[in-house]
Amino acid sequence: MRGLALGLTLVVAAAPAVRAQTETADLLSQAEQLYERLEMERAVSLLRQIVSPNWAHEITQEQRVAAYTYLGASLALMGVRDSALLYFRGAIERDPFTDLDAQRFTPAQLTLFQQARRLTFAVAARPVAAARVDPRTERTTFTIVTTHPASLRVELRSAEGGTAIVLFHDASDGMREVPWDGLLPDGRLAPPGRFELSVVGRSQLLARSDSVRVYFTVAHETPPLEDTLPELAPAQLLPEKLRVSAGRSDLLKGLSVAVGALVVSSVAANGHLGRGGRGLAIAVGGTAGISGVTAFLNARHERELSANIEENSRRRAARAAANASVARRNAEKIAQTILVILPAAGVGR
Amino acid sequence: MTRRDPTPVASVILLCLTFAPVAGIAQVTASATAAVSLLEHQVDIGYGVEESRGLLFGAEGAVDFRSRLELTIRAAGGSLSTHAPGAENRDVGEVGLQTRVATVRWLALRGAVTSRSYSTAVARQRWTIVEVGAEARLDFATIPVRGVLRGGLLPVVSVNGLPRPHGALTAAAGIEYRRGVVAAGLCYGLERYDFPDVGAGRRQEQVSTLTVRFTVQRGAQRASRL
Repeated sequence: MRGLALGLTLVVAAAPAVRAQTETADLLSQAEQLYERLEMERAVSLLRQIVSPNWAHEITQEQRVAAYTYLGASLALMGVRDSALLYFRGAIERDPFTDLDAQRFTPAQLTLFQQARRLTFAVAARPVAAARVDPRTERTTFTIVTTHPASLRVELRSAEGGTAIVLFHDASDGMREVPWDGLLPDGRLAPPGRFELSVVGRSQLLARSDSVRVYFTVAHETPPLEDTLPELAPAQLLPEKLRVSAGRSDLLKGLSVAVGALVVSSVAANGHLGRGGRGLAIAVGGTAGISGVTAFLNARHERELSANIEENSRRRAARAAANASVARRNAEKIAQTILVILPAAGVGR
Repeated sequence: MTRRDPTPVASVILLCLTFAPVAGIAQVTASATAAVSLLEHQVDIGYGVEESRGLLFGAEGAVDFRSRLELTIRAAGGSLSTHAPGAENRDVGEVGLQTRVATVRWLALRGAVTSRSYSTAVARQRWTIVEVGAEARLDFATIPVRGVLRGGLLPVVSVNGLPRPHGALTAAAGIEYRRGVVAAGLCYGLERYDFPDVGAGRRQEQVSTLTVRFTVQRGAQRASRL
């Protein structure tokens, strides 16, 4: 019940805004129909209401541009060239991508519109479209426009700074598709993060410049990478030097085994049944003791253990080879990285 | 009270020990061992100690996974002779399966199940033994020798015709010399069984062995320390 009440509240609250846009759209539609029926005065009257500062209803940028365009077109047909030019320029300034369809408008209207373009200088870039780009075979494109011939520079820059990637720097007129392969100037893949597409134009007809910035994010879609092997821990390497202390330690180990054998044959054995193979235990204990003493004597003088050094080198080389192999496989996976491009909030001039 | 078959218990214990740390198996070492043991068997069933001794010849096959887990299957057989009055010479044979799990570099947990039989011309006595224990490995730093100390309990001992022992243990100490892929070892081992008194006297039994082993390894290289 509470959910229903909340839903109704939202619907009621949202209604005025929707109604306002609908009223603008309705009026714009009426004006277009009047224009099509060549009832220019009535169409102009409705269109002027829409673009008037006193228009009380909400109007979108697209609706305003459409209203300006139809005003210009209507006034052009009525022979009011200066006013028509003014409204065409208003439409172009608000959206430099605005153009007239040659199939629907007369040559006179088109000529006037082109004149408006020459008198107005603006650059624009369409919002970046979401895309998945394989840099090896695909390109993403940015759509740029200048209202008339201009010197145009299109750059990409990471939001975190760094060197700009110049995508285009030349003369341009009208709409242009600027491709990007997803690479930095040094050939590396663009890192993940937020990027700014900066478009700067300088008119070749007027002493005017204009610029626009749009933002997008780049993400990497890479297969999971393998971890390289860590450095060999001391426990994974053999001692490379024979130390006197090691001899003492080995002596203790040998004696431990000897004592262990005797303990087993005396403490663990069932005394009632005899000596529990005491002679057998002494044989093992004696061998262990001799081994311990031998080890102790063997380590009286410190020296390098060349066999261990060689074995450690082999282990290090094996690790390095394994890591090189991992690095190669990872490089192959990174080479398959797909760039995921998404539009980001923010636009500026 | 009926006596339950110990085999399922033994199997569960072995399976638990075997499959607990198997994750990440990659480097595998296989080894084969030939062994000869001097076995001394002592038993007292209430009429004095009867001793017998003899040689056992055995073979083992083992697989070691990354020095973490080792599975061994073994078989041995031989004859025991005795000079005790009224006692007969016996043949002894056994097969066993054991697993060893390294917890740290020098310590491993062990589990084993052994089926052993003593036979004379007229009778056969079958033993089923389950062992759980630990093994310390003392690698020498200056010569390619490893000392081994082993101890364990025998929680499941089933002997046909006899009650379960109320206490059974095993222990061993040995030394092993290794050179490249070949190892030779000398090991002293003891098994002790104390059976309860069921009215006909208290049975006590123990087996001592001195085993000489020769092992050849194949697979992941285990380097000598010198």
